[in-house]
Amino acid sequence: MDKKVRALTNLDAVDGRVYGRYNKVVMVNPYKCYFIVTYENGTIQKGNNLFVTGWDAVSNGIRTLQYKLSTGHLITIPKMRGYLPTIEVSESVDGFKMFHAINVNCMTYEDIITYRIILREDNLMKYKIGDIIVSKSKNKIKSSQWKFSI
Amino acid sequence: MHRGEDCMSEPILTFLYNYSDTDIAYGGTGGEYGEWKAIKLATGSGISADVKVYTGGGIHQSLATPTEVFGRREATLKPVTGLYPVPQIYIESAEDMIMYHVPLASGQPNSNRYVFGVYIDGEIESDLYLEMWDDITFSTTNIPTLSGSISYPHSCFNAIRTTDTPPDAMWTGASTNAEYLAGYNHRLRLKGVDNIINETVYYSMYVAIPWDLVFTHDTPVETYRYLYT
Repeated sequence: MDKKVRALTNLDAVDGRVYGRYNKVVMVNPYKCYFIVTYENGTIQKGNNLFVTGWDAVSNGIRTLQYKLSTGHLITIPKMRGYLPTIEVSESVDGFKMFHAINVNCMTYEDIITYRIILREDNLMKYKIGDIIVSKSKNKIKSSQWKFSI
Repeated sequence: MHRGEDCMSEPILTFLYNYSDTDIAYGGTGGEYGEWKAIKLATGSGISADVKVYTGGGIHQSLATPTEVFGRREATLKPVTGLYPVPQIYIESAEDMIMYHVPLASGQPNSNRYVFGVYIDGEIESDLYLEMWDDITFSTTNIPTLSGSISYPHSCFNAIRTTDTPPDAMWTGASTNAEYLAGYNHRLRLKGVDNIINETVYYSMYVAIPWDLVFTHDTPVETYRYLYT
């Protein structure tokens, strides 16, 4: 199945634009957004893109987790016990995809702190690409994809 | 082997509809299977995506079934009082030049369970959310069929999760596990839990037109939101 993003313009440049009936949206180029993991031994591992992230190949022992966006933003996540990043996407039945955010769930000893990295901006929403919204929750998230700093 | 077992990445969603009058679950793993057809997505080769068409109830009551020519529409009704559920749903295939009827979606509301489905090949770290928006900016719900009318102050799109149980015969968007679909705040959870791996979720839906809805020609977009690693 074809997984290319459609109905966007300027996708080969820095970002993509979507023109709607009441609003205009600018989105990152999902092919040019990836994570950068630095391990305790100094080794650096880069992810792929937002489609095939490459997170499953990350090992424990993370010293620093960063996200590089197609817009040039470099976002560093504070050091935590563990990390579980999830990509938030909408898919329409006509084959279009909109990437909303990367939700980086971070494990502390008591809570889950989520760093929500915004991937789209428009004329109505107050957040811009690269903005980070931080929230905290007591709810545990079960997943085999948690990767730890120690 | 499913894709999600050997490679953690974006899951592949297949949007399905039952084009028979047999209320039976999907048995496939992502493609067309048995009585279930897949809604074709637009491709880079110039083929247009399939379109879900709500129609019927006019002079002829419905289009001929099981198929009818591409592009044909039957008039529907705007009632003088009360509500009018649009009686038929078709999937218009530009590639096949055919409109496929979805028999179990006829005469809604009804208690049919396996009407529409989504097969998730791979793993998502959340529920799968069915949403309805004005367009693919995924930001507004201003068009009349999503904003409603004075007598019907919510979306005209009624949807209900049927993954676990069939709906009540008189269900509406206000029923348990149902929604009047409009944007982020009125979206439908299709599984009910925050993790889905290689399985099919199901729902049913219909459009109800209130007597005081403004005349309109709307083409809202039906979308699915989820999380993955």
